[in-house]
Amino acid sequence: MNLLTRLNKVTAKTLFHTESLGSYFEPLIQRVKPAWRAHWFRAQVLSVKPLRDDVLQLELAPQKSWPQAKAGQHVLLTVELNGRLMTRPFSISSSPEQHHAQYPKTRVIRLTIKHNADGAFTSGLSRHITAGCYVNLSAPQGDFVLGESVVDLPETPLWFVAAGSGITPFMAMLHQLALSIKRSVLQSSSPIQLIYFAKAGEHLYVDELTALAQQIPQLSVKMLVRKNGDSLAAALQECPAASQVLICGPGKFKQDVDCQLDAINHPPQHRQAEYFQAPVLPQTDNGHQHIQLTQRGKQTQLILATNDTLLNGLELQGISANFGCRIGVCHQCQCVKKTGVVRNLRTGELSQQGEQLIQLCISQAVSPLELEL
Amino acid sequence: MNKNINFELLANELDDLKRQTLSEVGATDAAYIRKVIVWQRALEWGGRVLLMLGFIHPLCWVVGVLSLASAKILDNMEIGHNVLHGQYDWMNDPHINSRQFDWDIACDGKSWQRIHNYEHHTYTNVIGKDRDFGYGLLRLSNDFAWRVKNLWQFITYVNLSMLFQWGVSYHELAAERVFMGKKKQDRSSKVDASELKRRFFSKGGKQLIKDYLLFPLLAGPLFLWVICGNLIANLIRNLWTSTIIFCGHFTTDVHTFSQAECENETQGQWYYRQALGSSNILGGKLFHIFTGHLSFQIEHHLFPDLPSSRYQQVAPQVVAIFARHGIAYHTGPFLRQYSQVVKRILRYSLP
Repeated sequence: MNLLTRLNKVTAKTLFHTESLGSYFEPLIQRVKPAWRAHWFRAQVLSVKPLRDDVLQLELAPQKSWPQAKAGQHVLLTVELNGRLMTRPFSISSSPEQHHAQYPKTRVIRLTIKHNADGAFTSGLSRHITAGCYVNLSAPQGDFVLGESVVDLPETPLWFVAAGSGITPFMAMLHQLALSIKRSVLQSSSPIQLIYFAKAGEHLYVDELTALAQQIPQLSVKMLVRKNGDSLAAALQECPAASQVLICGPGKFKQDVDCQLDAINHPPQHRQAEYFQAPVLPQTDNGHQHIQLTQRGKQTQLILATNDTLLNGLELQGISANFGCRIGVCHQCQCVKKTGVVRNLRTGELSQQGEQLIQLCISQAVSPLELEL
Repeated sequence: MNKNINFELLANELDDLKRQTLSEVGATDAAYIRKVIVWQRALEWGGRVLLMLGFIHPLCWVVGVLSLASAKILDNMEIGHNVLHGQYDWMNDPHINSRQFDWDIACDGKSWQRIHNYEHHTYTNVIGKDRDFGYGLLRLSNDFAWRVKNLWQFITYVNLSMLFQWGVSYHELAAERVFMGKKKQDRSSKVDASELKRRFFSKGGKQLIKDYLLFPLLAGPLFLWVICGNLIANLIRNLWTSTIIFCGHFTTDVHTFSQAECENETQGQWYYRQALGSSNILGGKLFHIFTGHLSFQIEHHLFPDLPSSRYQQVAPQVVAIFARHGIAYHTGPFLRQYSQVVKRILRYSLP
């Protein structure tokens, strides 16, 4: 922490009891500069376009200070939906240097967002987000990027294996490769294979992929449909052991790909993967649920009965959580739920999947949970 | 406790009302609290600047004091009190939630959450459990034996009101007997005495430095103007909050309860106790905002974590539910409620 940041922090803490001067003055500053927000990067929405009934494409212009993403990285998008700030991770489907004909002077990133079972976020997006409004971004994150090796080791064939909306990071990478070829930076002439599984008629960016295949001579694209008899085994059969394989899709899909690759003796160290659904804790049967608990940085795994309150459950396991009234009034037992769904016993309401504050004394686990006391 | 009330039905009706109202909470409530915060910041900084312009015309200074006092009242009541209750936690906003928020008064927010959110709101008006009833200083009902010091308790009350933020700040230390007296056997504190002391001095110290050293020093030659302005603004805020809070619990008809009465209480009985332990104040929209909607003390005690801006909306339905169950709904204009408070303090100064 540099001196200025520390000074800011100490002043804000002493005078205003806030985290920073920015967060104290934020409400005032936003009156003048709606694009401004403390501790988040802001981005203006340039366009909201439905690619399909259940897929939305956002084009965003991040503020200047936003660090450039590498192709394949994702970003946490935080949006205010009906007064509530909600955050979800999304891969960026445009490459860092990609040129956008419509906005030649602005830096633009594109997010491809699929409706999921937990529809609160995605359905809210299509209802409340329009061109011109502002959203919040984290810095780009993630290691699922094209390694330097792609450019340095021309002998390595590249295999991209995607399922459903897992195509998004690959769109960024392919655009990046196309640009490198255009500028003759990329020496490699070894084959690049894209295996893309989706339901019939649900492949995204078909036209764009066709155009990319023309720009990248060594790229071949296979759009496959499992129901039409295309199998993962057949698609991966030819994958050479020396190739670098990048996998993106649901967790189950990633497992299947790993199995197939193991079967043809492709070495696991030549694979990179990114899958949705955070590595979910296993579902237990008859009224129990897995809980991952973080207490002062220490992690514990627990199994709690689901017909009991979380507070009682934790206490039975010898974990002392802060508590007060035990009837949902005082909020002393409040903690952060990172992921998972809880039921509020007072209102019967089910929570959303993402991060939020919950009261242990009136909450029951409905799915596996990650909690931070 | 009145045995003729159908407590189960009462609980269902009030639970339904809460659920129904919570389902409507959303963008308007978030916009509302943000707007109040903008006003608070504008009044605070407008006030601080005007305080320094006193040399142009003394009226600037007067307006500055009033502006700063209003900002401090908003911060204390409509923002601080309600955010610390968790009323806006659903917004997921890192700056507007009960975990991180702290307010511009001497009391550490966490300490207040323990003593107010937990003790006062769980054991409202239960003698021996709710230390807000008389704050350990005043005798306000026959539940306490008369002592000689009660003779001059009106003066004690005036002093408490003027120093109210310090009273609130010292409340938990007094309850835990950190400095004086012997700790009660049945009190088990989750925070040890040294931590309580550290918090008390650190938060209080910051407040003193800010209003009586740093801002006056920034004003240079106008040091005294600013120091007096800050002192008066704090005094106005203290008197205002104390008065509003006393009107919420110490009017004539407010009931007290014994610990035995409240054992194994059902949800309906809990609601009933909140209803009889609180009283409202009639007033206009601005008045409600400056009381932090504690002019709807009854609704606040029934639903302490419902966003404050919704209390006006649920009040008529609460009145209707109480009427159906034959429960008294105590409300009245400010002067009537306040005169009842004064009478109560005076009445119980005598045996």
